[in-house]
Amino acid sequence: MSRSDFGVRSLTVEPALRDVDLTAPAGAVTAVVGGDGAGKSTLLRTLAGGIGASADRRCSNVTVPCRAKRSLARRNFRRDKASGLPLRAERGSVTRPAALSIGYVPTGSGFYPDLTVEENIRFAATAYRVRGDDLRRRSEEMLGRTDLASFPDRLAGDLSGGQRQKLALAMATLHEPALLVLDEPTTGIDPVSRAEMWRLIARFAADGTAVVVATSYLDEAERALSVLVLHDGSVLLSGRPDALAATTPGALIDMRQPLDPTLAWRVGRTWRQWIPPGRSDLLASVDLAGNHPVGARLSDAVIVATLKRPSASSKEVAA
Amino acid sequence: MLAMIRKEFREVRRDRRTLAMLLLLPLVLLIVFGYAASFDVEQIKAIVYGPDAEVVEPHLPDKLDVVEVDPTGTKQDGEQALQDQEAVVAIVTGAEPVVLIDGSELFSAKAAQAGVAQMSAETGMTVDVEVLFNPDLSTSAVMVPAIIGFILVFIGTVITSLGIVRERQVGTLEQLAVMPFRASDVILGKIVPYLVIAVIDLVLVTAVGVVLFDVPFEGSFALLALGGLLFLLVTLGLGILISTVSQNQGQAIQLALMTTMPQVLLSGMVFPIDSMAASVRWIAYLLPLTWFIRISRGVMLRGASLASLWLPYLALAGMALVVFSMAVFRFRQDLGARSGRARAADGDGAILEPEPQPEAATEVLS
Repeated sequence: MSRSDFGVRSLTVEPALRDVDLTAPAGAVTAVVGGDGAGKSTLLRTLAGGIGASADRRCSNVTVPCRAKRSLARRNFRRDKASGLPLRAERGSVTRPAALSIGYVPTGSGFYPDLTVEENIRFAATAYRVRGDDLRRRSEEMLGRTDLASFPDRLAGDLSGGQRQKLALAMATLHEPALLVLDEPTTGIDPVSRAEMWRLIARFAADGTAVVVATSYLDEAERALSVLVLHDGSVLLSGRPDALAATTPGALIDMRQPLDPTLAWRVGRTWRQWIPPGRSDLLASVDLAGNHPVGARLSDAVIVATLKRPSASSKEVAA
Repeated sequence: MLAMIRKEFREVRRDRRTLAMLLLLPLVLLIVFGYAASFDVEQIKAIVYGPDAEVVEPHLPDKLDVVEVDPTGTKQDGEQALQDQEAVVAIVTGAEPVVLIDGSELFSAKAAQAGVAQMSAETGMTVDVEVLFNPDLSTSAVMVPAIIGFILVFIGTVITSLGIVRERQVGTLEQLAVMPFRASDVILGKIVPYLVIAVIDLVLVTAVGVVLFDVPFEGSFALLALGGLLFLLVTLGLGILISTVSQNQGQAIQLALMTTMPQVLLSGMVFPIDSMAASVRWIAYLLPLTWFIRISRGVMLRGASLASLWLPYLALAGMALVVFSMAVFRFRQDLGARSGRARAADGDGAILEPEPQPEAATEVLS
C-alpha cells in the first residue's frame, strides 16, 4: 500500500470476514465481487468506517487498528447476512481518509424517499459542509452529470431505480471525496442505467478518487483496475481482472455436451468445460473437431477458483 | 387451501413477536378487564376534621377508609389535604359541618357524593357538600389532562420509533453513521424534531381543552411543562429502545402497541387506580403515564404545587434517567460509535501513519 492508497490489511470481522486485504489506489476503481453473504457489505462498511472512526477531522489519512476489545454483538443491525450471527471481533487495520473525505452509498439506498432531489442534495451538502459557491457549482455539476437537473422538485421516492442510485451517488460525491465506497450500486437497475452508472464511476476515478465498488456482476468487475473476489468471508481471488483470467489453471473448452458436468457450466447455448491441470485423461477424450478451446474471462476464473478451492466438496471435484 | 393454512401457521410460529402478541395480548386484556377495569370504587380515602371528629368517625359508612382523624383540623386544612391528595373526601365537623370532595378523582368523587346523599336520606340530616377542583364533576375535565399524556406517549413512543426504524429500513442510518456527524448530532437530530412536535401538541391540546371543554387550569404551566418534559424523555427513550430492536416498521408498531396499551388501560386514565385489585395495582405504578396523569390532573385541576407532587416528579425523573440513558447508549451502539473511553483504551498509536508496504504484498492470489 503506498501512502496515498486506502484499504484494509489482514481484516477479520467475525464471523463475516477472515483475513482480508484490500488496496484501493487513488484514481482507480477496485471491485469487490462475491455472492450474497460473501462479506462484501461488511468489508465496505468497515472500510468506510462509522461514527468515531476518524475522530480527528483535520488529519488526512489514518490507519486505525481494529481490535477485538469491545463486543459488537449488541449492534443488532450489524449482523452477518449469511449466518445471521452478530458481527464480533475485529482485527487488522483500516486505512481511510478523514470522514469529510469519504463518500459512501449503502446497499440499495442512501437517500431520503420523502425528500425532493434538491432537498436530498442540500442535506448531503450540509453534512459534508459544502457551502456557498462550492455548493452551487458542485450541485449543478452533479445534477447535470446524473441527468437529474430537470426535476429538482421531484420526490426521491418517485424516481426510477436508476435515477435513485444516481441521486445517491450525487449525494455521496458532492464533497469530492478522496475515497468513494459504493455497495452494489447497480443491483436491480436496468441495463442502460447500469452502463450510465459505470460511466459515472469511471469518471470519478479519472478525477483521482479511489473508488471501491461491490457488485455481484462479473462483467462489471472486468472494468475495474483490480478485483477482489470474496467467498464465504475469505479472499478467493485478487488482482487485475485480465491477469486473473490469464492465469486460470488448466484449459477451457466450449462444447455441446460436457465431458464432466461437475466441472462445466453453461455459457450461452454451449457448455464450457474446465480441464484441470493434470487431467490429461479428460483432455484426451475431447474431440477437438466441433469443440473449441477458449481463453478464460474473469467469470471463468472465478468459477474455476470456486471449483478448486479446498472446501469445495470432494464429490464435486473427484467426480 | 390446506397448504395455505399450514404455511400460515408455520409463518406465525416462526414470527415470535406476532406469536407473543397473539398469546400475551388476550392474557393481558383478561387480567386488565378482570381485575382492573372497574368504575366502582370500593374504598374512598377520607379524613375527618373538626371538634366532633372522634364522635363522627365510628358512624361513618365502611366504604370510607378513614386515614386521619384530627379534632383540631379546619376547613382550610381539609382543602389543603385534598389538594395534596391525602384523601378524596374530607369531613369537617363543627357548627357548620361540610363534606369536601376532590372532583379530580371523578369516580371516587361520584361514589362519595352518592354515599353522602344516601346517608342524608337515612338519617334525615342535611350536610353541605362541596365538590372542589372539578365542581361539575365533568368527565372532560378529568380526561383532557390524561389525553395530554396519551398524546405524548403516542408521539414519543410510536412516532419516534417509526421515524428511526424508517431510517434503518431504507438504509440511510448506515450512511448517517459514515457521514461526518458526531453520534450526538445524529441522536439529537433524530429526537429534537419529535420533542418540538410533542411540546406543540402539549400546548395545543391544553389550550383546546381549556377553551373548548372548560377544563380548569389552576396551577402553573411551567410545572406542567416540566412534568411533560420528564415524561417525554421517558416515552422518547422507549421509542428509541423499540427502534433499536426492530428491523422494520411493522415490528416497531407491534412493540409500541405492547408498551402503549397497558399504559392506556392501567394508568388511571380510564379506570381509577383505586378500584384496581391490589394484585395488578402495582403495575400501574411502574407505568410512566400513571405518574404524568397525576401531575397533569394535579396541576390543571387542583392547582397543586411541586411540594405536593414531588413523588410523581421524582418517579418520572428516575424513569427518564434510566430509560433515556439506556436508549442513547443503545442508539450509539447502533451507529457503531465507540465511546470516548473505548477510544482512549485503544491507547497510544490508535492513529498511525500507514506503513509503506511493497506493492506485491497487496496482491493475494489464491
